[in-house]
Amino acid sequence: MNRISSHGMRSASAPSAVLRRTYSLPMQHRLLRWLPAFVAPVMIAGVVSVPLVAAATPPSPPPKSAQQVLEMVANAKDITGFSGTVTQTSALGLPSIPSVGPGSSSQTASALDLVSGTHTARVEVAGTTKERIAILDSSAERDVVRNGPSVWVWNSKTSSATHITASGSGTTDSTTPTATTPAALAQELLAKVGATTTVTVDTAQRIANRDAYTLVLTPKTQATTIGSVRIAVDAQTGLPLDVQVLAQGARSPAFETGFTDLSYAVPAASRFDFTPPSNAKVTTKTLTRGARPKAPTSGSSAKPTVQGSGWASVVTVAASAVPSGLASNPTVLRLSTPVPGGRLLHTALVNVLLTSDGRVLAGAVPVSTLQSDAG
Amino acid sequence: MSSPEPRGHQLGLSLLGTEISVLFRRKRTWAMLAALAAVPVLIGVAIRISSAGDSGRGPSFISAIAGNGLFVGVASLVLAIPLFLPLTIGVVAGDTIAGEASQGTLRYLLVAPAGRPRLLLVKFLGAAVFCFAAPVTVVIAGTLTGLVLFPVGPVTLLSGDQVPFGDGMLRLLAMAAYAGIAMLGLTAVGLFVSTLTDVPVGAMAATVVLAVTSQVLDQLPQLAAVHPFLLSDSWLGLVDLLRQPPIWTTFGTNALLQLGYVVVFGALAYGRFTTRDVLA
Repeated sequence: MNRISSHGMRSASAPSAVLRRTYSLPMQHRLLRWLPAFVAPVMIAGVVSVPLVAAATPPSPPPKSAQQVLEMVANAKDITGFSGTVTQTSALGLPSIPSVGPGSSSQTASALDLVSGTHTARVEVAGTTKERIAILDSSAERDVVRNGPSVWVWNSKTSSATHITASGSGTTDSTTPTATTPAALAQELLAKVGATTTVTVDTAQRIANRDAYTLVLTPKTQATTIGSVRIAVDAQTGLPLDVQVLAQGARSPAFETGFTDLSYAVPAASRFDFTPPSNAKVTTKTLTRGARPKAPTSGSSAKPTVQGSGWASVVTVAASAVPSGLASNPTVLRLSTPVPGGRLLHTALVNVLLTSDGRVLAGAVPVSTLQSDAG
Repeated sequence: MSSPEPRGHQLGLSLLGTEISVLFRRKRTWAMLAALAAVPVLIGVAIRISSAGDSGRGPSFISAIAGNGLFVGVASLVLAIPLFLPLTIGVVAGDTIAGEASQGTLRYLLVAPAGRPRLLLVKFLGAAVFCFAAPVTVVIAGTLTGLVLFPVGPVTLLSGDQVPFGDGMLRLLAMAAYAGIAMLGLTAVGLFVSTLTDVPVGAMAATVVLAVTSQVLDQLPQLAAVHPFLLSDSWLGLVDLLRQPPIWTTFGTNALLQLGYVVVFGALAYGRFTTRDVLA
């Protein structure tokens, strides 16, 4: 170090020495000059890998049983608010869907786009009635802002805003049971899933800089494509931080969604007051209770039937309830492959069979099960 | 120990001043800045004279221009960052050392008592100034075009929130700063390539090719694991400044990534330039 700097100094005081110095530079000195070039990448590799190594060491929060972890989750509804970034990764094995160009139908494509690839969203929650989810697309954004009974859906690509108001009494979602205690709720849940699922607690992990318990749900049946579901639960607050769904026999998740950063500070109320920009296309929809939007395939007339039970359930939608254009939809055609009995949409977790007579069968089961159920 | 240091320091500063003034007195530099300024003018005029309604499917932000002139600058910057900016920066950075070598002026520069490391630093800083001058040119030309051809007013952000025009202008300037920082890594790569050869055109081409290669690799899903470390990975993150609230972590990630490239390729350039035989 000293020797190098003294060289620099000499060159500053003796002008013509510069050229000569190069020629007379001993081999050792030449190598020394390359030293930074070797040290810099090593240093950077170190800086990059330190957090990775730290993350690889599992934290050790006080050990808890599955029942206790579930109690924490039930208690998490006391959280007054949080905000964070959620990243969702899917490796379902779907071919990539072009969002523009021939053969794409933009609506189906944008719906399917959400279940493929990687997405980042910013999630803000205050209390039980205020939520804002911003899906951060490249050079675009889709927002859902809920403030009590009023929901705004914003799409920056089309510059359109949809205002959905729920009329009728009560809040739009009141599925959270209020009377039961968390412990009872956890017990009830364990009893309910106990027949089909093994619930265990695995090694703790670190998610979004927080210690988290790992709750593992493993189906007891082998007849499903799902190997296990792993849920990371914040060791302090009980908020689920990360969900992974692994296919049967797979080592990496086919689907994962989880926080990459998280803050329990309650977001400002102004974040939930959405005013559509003056030049936006605004549409208004009113939902009355009981007419909530259902899954698009389930239609209205014939109710879908369920065969099998638990994880290996197969949902069958009758031909009359299937939207007429579905089988000829270019996106569906692109994604599905012909199989005996119809066309198959195959993913690592879920299989969907569009039979030749127009029915749709779907389930987290192998293709053969769908085909035999189709009869 | 301390007496020669200030002298050298002053010398470095005056060398930097000379370097920058030489850079900005070259016709080529002005031609490149003019070409960059032509991007927003072309976009603005094309949208002004065409009456086709926006389908929402064109390149990002183009459809927003008709409603707000500020987006001329935004759209031009987003359009310029994958190719036009790297092209001009490749020319400037590739020329730094190789240009002097090809003209036979490098040896005279080395005769000045600044020392090779200092000369290298001055060359890098000169090119870095251009890094920021280029996106600022795009933004200024874009804003002027927007003001002349289109209405201006409150700016609709990606999140659907509207902010006053002044706020939008600040964000646009922050985007220009982002773009400038995003090009620093490429500048360091160009500087290193420039120390390898006496043929400036070769160094320029190699730098631009590396920039394009990085973007191609960034598109391959099979290489997802190395994507965060690619030179160009953070380039388009500048749109995160148009969200509400702006995502400054992207800004920081970009700065860190570029710093990494500057350190690694700066060290490589130092190793090469201080050990190389200068014959021309």
